[in-house]
Amino acid sequence: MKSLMIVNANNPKILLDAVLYGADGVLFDLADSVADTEKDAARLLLVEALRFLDYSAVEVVVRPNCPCQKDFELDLLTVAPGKPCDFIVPMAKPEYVVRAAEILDKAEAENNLPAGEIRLIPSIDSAAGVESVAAVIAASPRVRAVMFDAKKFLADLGAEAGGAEQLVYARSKIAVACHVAGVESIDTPYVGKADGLAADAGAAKALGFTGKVAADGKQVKTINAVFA
Amino acid sequence: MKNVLGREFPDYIEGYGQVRPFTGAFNNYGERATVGTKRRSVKPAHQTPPAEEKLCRSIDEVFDRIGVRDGMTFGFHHHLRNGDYVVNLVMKAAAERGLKDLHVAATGIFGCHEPLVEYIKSGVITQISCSYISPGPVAKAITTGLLRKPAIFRSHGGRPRAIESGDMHIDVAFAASPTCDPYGNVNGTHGPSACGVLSYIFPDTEYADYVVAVTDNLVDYPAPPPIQITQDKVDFVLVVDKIGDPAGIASGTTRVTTDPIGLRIAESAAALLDEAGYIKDGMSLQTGAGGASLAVAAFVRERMLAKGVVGAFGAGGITSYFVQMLKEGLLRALFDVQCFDLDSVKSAGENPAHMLMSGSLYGNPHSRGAVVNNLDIMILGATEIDLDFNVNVVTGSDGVVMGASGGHNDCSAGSKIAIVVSNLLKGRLCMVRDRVTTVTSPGETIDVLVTDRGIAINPQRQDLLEKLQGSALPLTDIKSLKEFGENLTGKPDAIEFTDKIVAVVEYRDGTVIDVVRQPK
Amino acid sequence: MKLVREATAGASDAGDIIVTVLPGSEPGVTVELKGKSVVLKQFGTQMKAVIKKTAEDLGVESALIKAQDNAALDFTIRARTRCAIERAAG
Repeated sequence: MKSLMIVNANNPKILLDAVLYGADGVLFDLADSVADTEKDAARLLLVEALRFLDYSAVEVVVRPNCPCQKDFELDLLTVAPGKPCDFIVPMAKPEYVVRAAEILDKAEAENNLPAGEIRLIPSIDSAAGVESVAAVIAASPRVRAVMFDAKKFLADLGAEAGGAEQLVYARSKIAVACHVAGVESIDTPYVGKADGLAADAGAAKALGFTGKVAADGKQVKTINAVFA
Repeated sequence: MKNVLGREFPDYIEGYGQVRPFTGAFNNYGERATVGTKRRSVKPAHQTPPAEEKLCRSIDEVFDRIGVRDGMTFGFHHHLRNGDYVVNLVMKAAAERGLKDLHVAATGIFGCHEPLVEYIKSGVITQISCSYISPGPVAKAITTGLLRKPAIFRSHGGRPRAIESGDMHIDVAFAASPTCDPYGNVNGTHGPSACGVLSYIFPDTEYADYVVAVTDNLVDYPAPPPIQITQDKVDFVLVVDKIGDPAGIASGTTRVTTDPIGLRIAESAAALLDEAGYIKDGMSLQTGAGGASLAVAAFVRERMLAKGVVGAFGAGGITSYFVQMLKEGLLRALFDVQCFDLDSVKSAGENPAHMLMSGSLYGNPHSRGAVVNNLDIMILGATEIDLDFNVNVVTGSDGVVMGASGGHNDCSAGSKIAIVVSNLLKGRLCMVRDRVTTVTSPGETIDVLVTDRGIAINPQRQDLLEKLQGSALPLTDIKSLKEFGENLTGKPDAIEFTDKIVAVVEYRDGTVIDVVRQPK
Repeated sequence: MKLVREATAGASDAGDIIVTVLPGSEPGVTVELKGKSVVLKQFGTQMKAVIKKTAEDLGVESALIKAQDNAALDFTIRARTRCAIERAAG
């Protein structure tokens, strides 16, 4: 997966058009993009969309709310019948990955889905996550890739977001661990000026990342080109 | 009767007349006569008493000197677009005089012309003919059958043809004139209401019984170049406070869409043109000014630069994009019927290679050869398209008038390849239908449909299908696009219409291609 | 499913629909649909049927459902209706 485009799962028009941007994967976000009062509406909309629309051209990835919140389990149980390819595990640590896998065991059994078919993509959002990335990957055979969120990682460190040099250690650690474990590594979304995207994606690729999150549809073309 | 596209209407339509049915896009050519004109000669200045000078200070003076009466046809151009004051000013004065049964033959009607609705209701206006109409109050009045006679929609080439042949006689032409001298020399690119070329009014200035230049910028004789309407065509010069609102006339700069899906549609269209061999030295190009159509020009430009191609000309409504391509030497000339932004107004006034063309030169099929005949590539929009590639730009799928032919059927007929670009779904509506609500351009003149969900090529274009074999472009067929769309939207319920014909859609040659009936 | 309060779901964005569910005073599900006439004339009957079926599949026996459409497709109509009903029942 070269590009993973993030979209708001509570917007019907975006759900309809998500396959048209040329992204390899679409990350349907139930967490940061959706207001607290609309979490129920978003997961219902997403599962109906997954049933109704043809997403066979892309990898369908769903980002639920943090496992530390009650919405996490509801997100997984509600959306799993729509047969997404993967769920993100936010604020990833080994326990959260195990819990996510257990919820999916239950959801797959209840919905007559093949066991273990829905995969997990832990999101490394903290310093502890970076340090334990190998253990996170090893926590479940469902893990198929790891995603990196630089903004949350730097916030956890208490460092002000600046340039790519701040991320060298974390990126290297994640990319190397993923390579060793044989799973894909998906770099953080880029939020700076448009003309800096190619350089940022190139920096991640140089450290071994296999793909990158696209913050919007306009970034997809550049990311696909860098990771081609 | 039924025309060749299976569209049904009476042989004789009350308020329109005897119908000549559409028989095919390329069947109606040959020798054609033009109608005679009347004009009143003017003595030399030293022989002309002040009361007979061309310059008039009030619209009533103009009306008195012409002797306007009930039932007349007034011609107007729409180069002031949604900032036009002239149509309203003239029709208000006509209403105040108690005139009735007037025919407004404006080349375009916009939202700013809302006051006409009152005059339609009161019978001051009983007929409208136009080449363009924007969705709005007048379009609604037409749809709901308020006009006593059906509106007539003619293309930009069809209107001059109708005037030259005598099908439509203009009694008085009121030409909004951004700069004018007291003897009637008109310049369109200067003055507070500068709008660029005045192309659409030329048949009126040639064939109307009376021509009135209406200006808010009277200058000393002679008006500065380029003079577009010369004094020998103009009977009267009327000075008013303002002919238009600059904010509504031309947008600052026309911009290409930034919507990634619109850009992908445009990129596909440009790639298709390249693969099919249309991007080459001497090529010519026209696009609509809509965001997605215009984006095709931007991608074609990139491919021209990459290949080192120099094109012959760009045509039609001109935007800053075409002006840039002219300046860069990517195009040798522009043929302009309408300036869409300030850059094109400026260029039309300065650059001799940025040439004005009249509506007749642009698209009249019964001239000695219109510019559309020399056009390679045409990029178009569409409200609906059907399985036979017939296009509708006149009504929504509920039968409500929301546009008129513009240059659509002139350019699709003239160009070597006519490509419609559009999103497949517009809200809950799929633009590919079993049968379009109203035919504007016949399918035999439309070659390709490029959508966000795939590209369909008209099966009549076997040559294109062969050239594109093995292409990586998302080629499909139009039926599959319709089925894809209907799987999402559901099959639309049929709209019910009354028998009342509210508008007649003429093809560019004057035959009737379709009619618009009043929806129930 | 028993409805205990009035509840709304959805938004006024393009492609969305605002569905408001009110507990009914008599048996049956009544649907009132508003929106652009170009859409309602061609798809109104189908859209109302989707709302009604969604409610009935959830076991709603009595409700007045008011919907303000902005060209929603069926998946959105189902999701918003279900969400409004769950909120009205909760």
